[in-house]
Amino acid sequence: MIKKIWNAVGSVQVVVPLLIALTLASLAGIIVPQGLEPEQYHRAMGAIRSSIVLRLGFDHVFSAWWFYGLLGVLALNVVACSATRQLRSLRSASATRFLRSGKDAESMKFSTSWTSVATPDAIVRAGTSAMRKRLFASASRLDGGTAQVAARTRSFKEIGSLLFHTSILFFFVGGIVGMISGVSYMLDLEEGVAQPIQGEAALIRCDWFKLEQTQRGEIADYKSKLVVLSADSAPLASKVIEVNHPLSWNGYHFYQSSYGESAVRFGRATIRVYGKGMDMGGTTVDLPMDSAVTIPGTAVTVAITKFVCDFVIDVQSREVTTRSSKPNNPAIQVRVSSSDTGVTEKWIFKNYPDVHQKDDDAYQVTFVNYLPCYYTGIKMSKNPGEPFIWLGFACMTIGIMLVFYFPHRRFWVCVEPAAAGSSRIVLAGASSQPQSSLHDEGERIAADLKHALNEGAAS
Amino acid sequence: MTGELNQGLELTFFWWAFVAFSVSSLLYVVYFGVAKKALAVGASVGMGIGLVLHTLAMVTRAIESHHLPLTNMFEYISVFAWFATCLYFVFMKIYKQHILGAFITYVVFMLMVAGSLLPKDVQTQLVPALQSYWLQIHVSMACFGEAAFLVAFAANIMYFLKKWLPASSKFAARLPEAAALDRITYKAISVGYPLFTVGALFAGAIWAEQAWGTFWSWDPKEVGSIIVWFVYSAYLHARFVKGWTGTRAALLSAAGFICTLLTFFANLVLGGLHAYG
Repeated sequence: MIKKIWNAVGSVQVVVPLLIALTLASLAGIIVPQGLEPEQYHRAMGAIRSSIVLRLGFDHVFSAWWFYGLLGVLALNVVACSATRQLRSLRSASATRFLRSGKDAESMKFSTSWTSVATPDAIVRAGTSAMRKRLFASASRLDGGTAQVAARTRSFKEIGSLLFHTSILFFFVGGIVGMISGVSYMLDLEEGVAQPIQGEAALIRCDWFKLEQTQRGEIADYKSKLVVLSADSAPLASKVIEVNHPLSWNGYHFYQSSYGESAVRFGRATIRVYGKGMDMGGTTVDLPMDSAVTIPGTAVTVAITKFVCDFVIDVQSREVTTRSSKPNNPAIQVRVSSSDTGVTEKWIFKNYPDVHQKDDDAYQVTFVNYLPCYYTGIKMSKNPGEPFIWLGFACMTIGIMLVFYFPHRRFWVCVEPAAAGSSRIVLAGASSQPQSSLHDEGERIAADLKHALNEGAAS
Repeated sequence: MTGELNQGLELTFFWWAFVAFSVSSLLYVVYFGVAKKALAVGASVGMGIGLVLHTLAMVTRAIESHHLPLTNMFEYISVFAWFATCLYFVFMKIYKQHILGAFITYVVFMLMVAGSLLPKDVQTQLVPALQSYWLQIHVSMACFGEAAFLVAFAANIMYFLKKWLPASSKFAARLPEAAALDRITYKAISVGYPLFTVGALFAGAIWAEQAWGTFWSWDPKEVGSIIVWFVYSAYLHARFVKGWTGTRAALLSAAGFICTLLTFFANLVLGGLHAYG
């Protein structure tokens, strides 16, 4: 009973409908938008259709339990098919098969016959030699006036078929291992900033980010210099990465994924300071973030301590944050220190220079401009299932080539007694695939045989 | 200046190739009616001239853009038609069936019509994701595989006509035997399937892993490709194991090509990671 079920699971009657079911499910996955909020389906499809979509999991087809179920049945089918039909087919293809008579030979896809004066023994030798020349496995038998050489190609096609099926299992194993123990996440790294790598006592730092543009303003490339650091900041690996050229370290891959302007840091900012001891037009100061600059000729020091690209303040906590990552309302918090006025701190707005400015302030500051600090979007992933995937690629590629380009063929040289002490030779051939080259190869073997028996003109 | 000259040239070559394929299609239409071999030979010559001009169009475009013309819909459809034309000559040499050639010519002509309607701007600067040698491997192999499926589809259409037209029909009598068409379909799929598997799926997955950090993203184009693979796998399984030939096999094969077309246009409608134009 179990054997029956096992055979049924591995049968082609299961795999063809299964492949069609997977096709339909996949079609549903590209026709129905995936991963939206329930309200969005409701708005787009109406109550009834959206409810069906959500209940059946058509909003996340490729992670739905029934889709995994179909894949699981496919995996079972592959295992059962390999363990039963594939192995049986390999054993069968590797066995030498003799034909009962020349009549059987004549019913094959290819057959040709002629009469020879050579002895059956000589014909068997010539036949065996012609088959071995083609690297065929052959066996012969000689029984009085009748003889037969049975030859076959090596079982490449069957091995290919087995490799093909096994490769699917490798893909499944690779996928499952990757899902269970793989890690994949995005990280926005600002220039000069290091962040920990999940699950490792190490950090990843972006030393610089570079955006290359053409004269017409098209994005030509974007690159980041990444350094993997140990817990004590010793460099472990480093590479300038770009799209298609990731950094690999300890099973992790770091991919250049995206980039953008930091919402809370800048590269350099230009401010103008007005006050005692300075020109009427103010003194222009250009400075990076978190560094203090003393204005020449004065004892006044300025520093920019905070930056937000889209200023917003929580009215209760008074905490300043950014509303978005777009430079809608850039603002800086400037600290001015001097021996006579002490330390003052205030928010200055690039687009609204008069806000927070009082006439009686000893020093006034305006925010002229800034160069953004870029962050580089890094995708980090570690996939322990990767070797299985590569193994799957290799097995399936070799398997397909063997199945399609190394068809299994059998040839027979049957010798039967004919009139006046001569022999009738029937050369027959069969192939696993409907290929006209079977006929060509048969003709070549016949020519070799005739040549070996000195019967070039025989018919 | 040289760039503008090349772009002018490549479009000139493209349009002349278009004219050659159109003339071939017309000659084949007349050939259907009067069955004069000279017309079919003339159509083949037209296809040859079209292939040369089309090759020149692609070479000049490649010189202009500094990369193989495989990066947008116009270029892909143009290369698709080019591979199909090459296969036209391969299958004509093997099977010597002008009728088969006629059907392939019509599909090539339709591809050229579709290509002619698309924007033809030369993209000299590729987006960073496309700056990889995998572009040439992945896209050209996938395209060649799909062109082989197209030949199988042409044989399918002929098969259905042979089966469904009354036996007394003169046209049906001129079509090759159904069994021969079935073999041509299989032969074309046996060329296309390995190319598609290795080129579209594996090379694509390896490239995706390098560029996006994952072998598979369930992107519409990826899903479309796996659907095509499922359908042709079902065809081959049914044929190898159950000995399916004839109408059932032809229907499955035709379904495979319809899925190929859907995949081809999937990114235009559905977007996704493959939406480069």
